[in-house]
Amino acid sequence: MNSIDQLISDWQKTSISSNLVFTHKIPSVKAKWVDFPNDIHPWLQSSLQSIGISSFYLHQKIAWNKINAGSNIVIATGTASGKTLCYSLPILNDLLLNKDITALLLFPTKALTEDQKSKINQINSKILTLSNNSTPYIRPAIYDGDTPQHDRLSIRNKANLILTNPDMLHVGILPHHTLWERILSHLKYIVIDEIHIYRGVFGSHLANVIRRLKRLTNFYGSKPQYIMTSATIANPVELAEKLVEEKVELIDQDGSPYGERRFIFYNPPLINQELGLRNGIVNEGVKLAGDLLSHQVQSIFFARSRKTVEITIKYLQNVYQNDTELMKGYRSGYLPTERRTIENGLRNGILRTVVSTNALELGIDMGSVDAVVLMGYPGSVSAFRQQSGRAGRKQEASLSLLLASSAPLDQFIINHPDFILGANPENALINPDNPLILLAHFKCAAFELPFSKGDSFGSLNWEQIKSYLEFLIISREVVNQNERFLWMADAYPANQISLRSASPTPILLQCEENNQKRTIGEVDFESSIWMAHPGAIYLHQGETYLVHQLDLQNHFAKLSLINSDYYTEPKKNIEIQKINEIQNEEFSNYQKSLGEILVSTTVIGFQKLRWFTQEVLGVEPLNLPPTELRTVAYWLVLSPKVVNTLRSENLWKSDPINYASEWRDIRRIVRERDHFTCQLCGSRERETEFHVHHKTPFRKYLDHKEANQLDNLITLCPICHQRVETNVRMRSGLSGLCYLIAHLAPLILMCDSQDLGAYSDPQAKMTGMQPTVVIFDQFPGGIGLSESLYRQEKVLLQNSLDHVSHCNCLDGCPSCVGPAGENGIGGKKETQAILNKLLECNK
Amino acid sequence: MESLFDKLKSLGVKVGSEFQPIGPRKKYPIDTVMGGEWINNLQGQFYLVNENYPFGYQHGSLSIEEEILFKTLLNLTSINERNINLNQILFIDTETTSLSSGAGTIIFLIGLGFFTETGFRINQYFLENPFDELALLTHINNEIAKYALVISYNGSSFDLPILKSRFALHKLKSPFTNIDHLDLLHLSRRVWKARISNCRLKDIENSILNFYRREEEVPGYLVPQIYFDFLHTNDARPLNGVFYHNQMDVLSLALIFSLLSKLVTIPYGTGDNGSQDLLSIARLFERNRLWQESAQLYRLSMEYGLPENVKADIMFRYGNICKRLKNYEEAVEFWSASFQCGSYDAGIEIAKYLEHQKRDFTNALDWVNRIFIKLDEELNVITYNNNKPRDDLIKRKIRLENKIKNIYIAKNE
Repeated sequence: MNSIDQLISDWQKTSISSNLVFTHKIPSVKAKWVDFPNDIHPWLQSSLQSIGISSFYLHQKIAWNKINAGSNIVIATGTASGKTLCYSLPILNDLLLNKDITALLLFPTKALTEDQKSKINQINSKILTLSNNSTPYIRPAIYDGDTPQHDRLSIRNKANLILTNPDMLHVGILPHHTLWERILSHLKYIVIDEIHIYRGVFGSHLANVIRRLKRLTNFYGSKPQYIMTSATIANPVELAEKLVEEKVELIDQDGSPYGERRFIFYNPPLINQELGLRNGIVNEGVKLAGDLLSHQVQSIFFARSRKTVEITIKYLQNVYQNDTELMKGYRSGYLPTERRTIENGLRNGILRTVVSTNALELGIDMGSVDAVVLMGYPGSVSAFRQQSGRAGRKQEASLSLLLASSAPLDQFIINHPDFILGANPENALINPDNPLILLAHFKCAAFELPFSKGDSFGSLNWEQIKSYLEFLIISREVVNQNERFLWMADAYPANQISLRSASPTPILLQCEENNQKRTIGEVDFESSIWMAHPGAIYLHQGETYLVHQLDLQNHFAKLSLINSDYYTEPKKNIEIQKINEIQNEEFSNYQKSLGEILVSTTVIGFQKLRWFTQEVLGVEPLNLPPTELRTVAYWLVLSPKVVNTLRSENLWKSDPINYASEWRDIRRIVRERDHFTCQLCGSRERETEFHVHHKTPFRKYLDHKEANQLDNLITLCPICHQRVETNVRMRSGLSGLCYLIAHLAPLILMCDSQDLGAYSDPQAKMTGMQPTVVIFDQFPGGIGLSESLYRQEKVLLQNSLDHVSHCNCLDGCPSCVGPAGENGIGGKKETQAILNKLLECNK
Repeated sequence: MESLFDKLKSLGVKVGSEFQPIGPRKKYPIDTVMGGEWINNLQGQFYLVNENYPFGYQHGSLSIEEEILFKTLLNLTSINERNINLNQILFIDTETTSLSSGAGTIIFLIGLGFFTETGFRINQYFLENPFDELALLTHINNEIAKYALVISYNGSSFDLPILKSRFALHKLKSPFTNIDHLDLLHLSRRVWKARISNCRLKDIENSILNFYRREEEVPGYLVPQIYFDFLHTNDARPLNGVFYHNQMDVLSLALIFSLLSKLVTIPYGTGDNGSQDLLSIARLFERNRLWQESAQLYRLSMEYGLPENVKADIMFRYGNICKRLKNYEEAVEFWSASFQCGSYDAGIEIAKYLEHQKRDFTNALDWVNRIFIKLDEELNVITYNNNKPRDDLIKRKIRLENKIKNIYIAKNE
């Protein structure tokens, strides 16, 4: 019996067996081998044989044939299925036959680029001995930010296989294209590896970088072929075609072998059934790590955030003190040398347990790991498959274990495993025509080559292009004459555009040590407000820093190293304004709409939480400007009829509070009495007036005079007030509904949890003071998710109702409608009632 | 229906002021500000301003001379075709729309200087309308092709790449493929870096040519904005300063060339003898493996007296040159003097010479011991190559001791 089977069998004998909610076995798959193609160059064949490759997988041959036939393709077979050879072999073969052609290979990370170069070098070394030529036929080179200046000239002059990344292409190559004339004019192949990474903002930027590249290949008279690879997403062809704006063929018949795969869905035990609280995933994870270690099972634990990685490793090292050498954390913030050491450690078996963020998700070769533990659902089926795919790359049996958190989505999946295992993974969505992104790339494109009437830019027509150019004329960056447009400014536009954000200027994080200022990293403008606000504890490369100052005008933050026993969590306040409505539909119980909104997020303060125990050590208010996001949203508004029905059934508690007219005076008296000090946290009023809160809720009184007795009133700062209100306020079914559908929507929409934002308000200004729930795209200009939700709302509502109805908690819990407060009443029932009313209309 | 402008604005894009096209509001067009002429060709038009500087014209402390003996200077460079006349040399400086390079940087003013029968002439070609760039480039292409050597200041990293880029963008063949290029920045640095920290053209102009520009001078970083403003307002008056700036750049360039030629040609010009210039030039010859000339210059500078801080190094180098010229006695003499001034490496050279050339092991060992003493004193040990480890010396000592022992044994067998 192999160690995996032994482990599972042992688990089933203990109390852990009750946590193993679901197990599944996928039998092993044999490889589908085919002969080498007829037209393979003898040197290439020799070289492959010398490294142990004596035949092709089926899909590699299909790729070979299609590429030679001139098609654009996207290869979407599974993890570790030999996708690289699908594109590298045809290209290498062609380089042996045609002296002048060139190829450009794009990789999303430096590590991947280096990996691929070594693979090419491996094949090339045998060819070099066979060819015995002074000028090698195959001349690969990495060209990125780290390439030394003195090498760059000779690479441009001599190399015919350029390995680079989108950022370098965008800022280092395209703007200097005259130096790349030889390569661009003979460009035959463009390879884009791992296109599933290029979703959202990043993908939208890349599509535009490709548009600029196409302008240039057109200028230099070449028409390259596009070869892409992708992990399993629902729409590889759609994504591929959107990225390169050409017809693309799909190859997904996977001919590679797979060992037997075991899946286990693991639900931590309940520690408080009423409140629905389960044991945390870090605790459970650490327990499981012990079992895996003792059974000699090499494993990777995937955590959802860097914080969790750090916490888990700390915890592991505390608990398994004799084995600390066998366990390591891994994430992108580490230095490349550190990461290489860890990858090697996994490969040669010295490291037994690695805790990582999704950095390992990208196809770096590190041999087989026996088991993968996903600490919490990684947010998408795609990520689930990629992370699971890390286990068992050869023919041995492997284990993939999903450790569920108490989040509604995780709990939903635990109860509906088919959603994940059978499911289509997500659609990777991009929006290359997003105005902000287009504008940025028009600047770059104009810098690279003038525009003339009738020019095209991807699929845009001249009228559309012209409107952007006219905008650039107004901003004094472009001049025109007779419908010709020239870049005329002192700037180098590509430098100011980051491909990973829709907004340009990052905030530099600077640390002062020994009188020397050092930039330790950067965050984009919007994120800086909640990640690097004054007082925040910022984690970077395993070190903790305290943020002293955040200067948004001058784009930097000042930090210093600190040994703290706590970390911080920001508290955000959201306000939504409606810009316009694109579509709406009215039903008897509610109205649904699709439109554009402006979301203002203000970080009003933050909590200090002790490591491991989550004990709240303190709360501090902040005075920071709001960040604005203009995007597309779906919202629903409950009709007055429904509100009345629910109220009469004693379920509606979101009525606005009718305070007396003397309220303003009363407030002032209370604040004076309390010395303008928050009675919970002790902070003093500065610029903003503090709130006055009813200890026993207003609603519980019949007479407002009684409710407003001074001894029922207390001064609270905005943060404490919000916390208290949330606990004490009569649980509103609306917020429960919002919580629930916001958590389940990503599954239905097949997107990542972080792609959506949510908001609810029983008296929303944007809908004229009506009870409203809003779900929006976390992406300026929108990316198609809300639109999708508008269409698929019935599925979401139905699944939400199912989920909350089957939840075992008494009255609401983190797994369904949200954590029940101390005085929360009727959250669960209210949400169910509302859902029922909503679905009535949909029948 | 919302316009793109409004939409972008609401998405957070910062927008500037009013829309001002390149209009026909010609207030102060170029031909009313600069005296020149319009050149028209098939591709369009541009404006040409020229200036003639007769022989004898004074620029700072130098004047434009009819005869410049530049052959020796060219021998100190990597220029291939050295057998050319003065009137086959073209001096270039450009003004661009950006101080960074890339496909979007345009050259809007290019100054070409060359020697004629009567003096030095500078032609300044101005791109009055950026859409006429092809006209300008076509013309320049033909002009440049007439010359055998192009000289610039920092042109190898700035002017020429941008110029080549402009040609490429208009699909014109670059005229530089058969022409040599000499960037005087590098030579200037070699000659004057010892006494001028940053050898920008302006610094050389001030300190070496003793020339100070007039008030109308415009500093380099302001130039792009002046051009942009001109495009929007059609007021060419501020361009005066840009033309002046460019003109002085070309003129000074030619005079620096003249001066450098003199400095390296026997009888070693009118350089500031007695200063570091002689030494720098000696070093220049040495780098180019011209030992005789280099030795001559070192001797000359030693006659004038060497500054204390370079004595050891210079005498060490001179010793090395003597060795190359096979003047061993003289070599040892200077190495010795250098060693006295603190050069550890000079001492090693003596030991090496004694061991391998003269096979005088006893004296060689003697020197090794002397060096040990010096090392131990650690006083003022100036080394040429800082990585000479002590172990090396120990190995040498042991080897010599063995050789001496072997001879003794051989003698007594």
